[in-house]
Amino acid sequence: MILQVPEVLELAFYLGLLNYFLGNLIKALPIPITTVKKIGLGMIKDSLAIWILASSFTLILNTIEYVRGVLGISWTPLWAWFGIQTATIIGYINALKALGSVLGGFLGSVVGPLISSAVSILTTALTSIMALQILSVVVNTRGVEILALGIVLYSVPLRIFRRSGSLLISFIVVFSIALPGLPGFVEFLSTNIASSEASAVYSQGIAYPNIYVRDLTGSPMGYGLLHFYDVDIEAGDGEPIAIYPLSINGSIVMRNISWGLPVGRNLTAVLESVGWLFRYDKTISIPSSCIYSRCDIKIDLPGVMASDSIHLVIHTPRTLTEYYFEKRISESGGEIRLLLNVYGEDNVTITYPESTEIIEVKLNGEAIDIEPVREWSWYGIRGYDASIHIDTPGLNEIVIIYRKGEIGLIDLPAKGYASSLMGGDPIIYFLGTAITTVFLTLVFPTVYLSLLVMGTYSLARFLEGR
Amino acid sequence: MEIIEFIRQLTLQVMVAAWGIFVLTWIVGWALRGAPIPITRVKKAGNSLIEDAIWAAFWLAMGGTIFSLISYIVSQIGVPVPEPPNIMNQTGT
Repeated sequence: MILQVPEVLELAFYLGLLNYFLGNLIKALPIPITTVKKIGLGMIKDSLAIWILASSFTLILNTIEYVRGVLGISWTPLWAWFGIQTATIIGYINALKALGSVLGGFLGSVVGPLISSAVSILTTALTSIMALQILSVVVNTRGVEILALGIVLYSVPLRIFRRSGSLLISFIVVFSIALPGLPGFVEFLSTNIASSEASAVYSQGIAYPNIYVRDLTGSPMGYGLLHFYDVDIEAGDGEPIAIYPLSINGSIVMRNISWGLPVGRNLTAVLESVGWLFRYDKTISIPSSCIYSRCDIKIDLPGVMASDSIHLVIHTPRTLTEYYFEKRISESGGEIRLLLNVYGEDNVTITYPESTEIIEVKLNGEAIDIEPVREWSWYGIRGYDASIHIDTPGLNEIVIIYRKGEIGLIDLPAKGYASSLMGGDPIIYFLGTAITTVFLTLVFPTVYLSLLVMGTYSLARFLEGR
Repeated sequence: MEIIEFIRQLTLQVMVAAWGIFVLTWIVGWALRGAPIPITRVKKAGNSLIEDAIWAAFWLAMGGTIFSLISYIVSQIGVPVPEPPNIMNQTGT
């Protein structure tokens, strides 16, 4: 049997009437004892309070609405605040866990316990946020029913459930008005300690995907710097948001917490290598699933037709329509045979470091001489660009035979996305923000809730008539 | 609803009982007061019984009136409150 709100109020009204007649009955009892008479009089007075409460049900609801309107608080910002805090805490927990797995050796053994305790405090904060969320949902969606239930409990004769009834009523009144003001309270207390910008960015998430850069033939492009730009912010120009060096096998494995890429934003990538910039023609948007699980991102550069990592890079000619290739590559050298279909006169540019020796270039079976047209220098590597001129449109065959030399390890700089957000040492940043987050999501809400509970208790005492 | 019906029936019975007890108390009160016992306390007890019974009868009779008065006053206050002034717009400049 489920009572609807009007029926519950009707019940409260009849209970008040019962109270009233019971009080009169006790008062009329032929027992000349003052205590008994006083009980009767008290019940008559109670029934007046019950009638006032039961008939002012809509008045209470309207007053709650009115006070909330005057104070300018509503539920929507509270939901948004919960969402942001939850995302932030989850982001920090993931980042700290990633940090724990990245760090090893002595540093890991020192920082490890710190990280694990920070994670456990953050988990507590997450639980408290979820509990608050549940509380607010209950107050928001079931407030009317709880208020009616409070009134009915209040109305039970002989003050049996009067205390719990008045607690329920004052709980709904106080919490409906004041709970949505939680973000404002926390914001007011934390204006100085919250690094709101970083947490706002962090709340969108940072992922650490594995990135593979390849040329059109699918061969890995090693020795390069991959620049990432945010398409929406800088229209693809301006400062890159991150720069990561490629390993020899053309991959970026993000083993550093200060690296990472933003989730859900439109990014574009540019490969800087052998004195050239090769632009990726598509936008990359990293899905949020990458935050939690391993994911791979493959970047096929349209500007590189074929390559032998850094030893020889053949650029895509402008008028290329289709091509076929054969590669025979060994430790010491190689032979690349290309069958190109071009629709106009064109140049095929090849780029190679000075350690590479071009032994022979054949165009349609005839050996040709090529001369370097440009000299470049890039992070201590020097080399040349040369160009092969194609006169006739249509199918052309190019064979390049070369010998490659040793290229030492080069030191390429990196600009981490996460570290640029944090502006400093990631470990200190994370531990510091973890403490801030705990204050924002655990300490301040607890203080606020205890204030509300005190208010509820005082109002309940007032309703109870004590 | 069964429970509401039950409470209504109970209230009705209590009301009937209360009227009955009023009559009983009134009679007992007059009986004590008019009894040929020359003890002042008994007389006084009878007097207070009559007084309480009369008051109870008065409140019993006034019950409906009191409730409709409360309902009327609350319904006069309980009309929806007008929208509060929008504070956000005023501080906008």
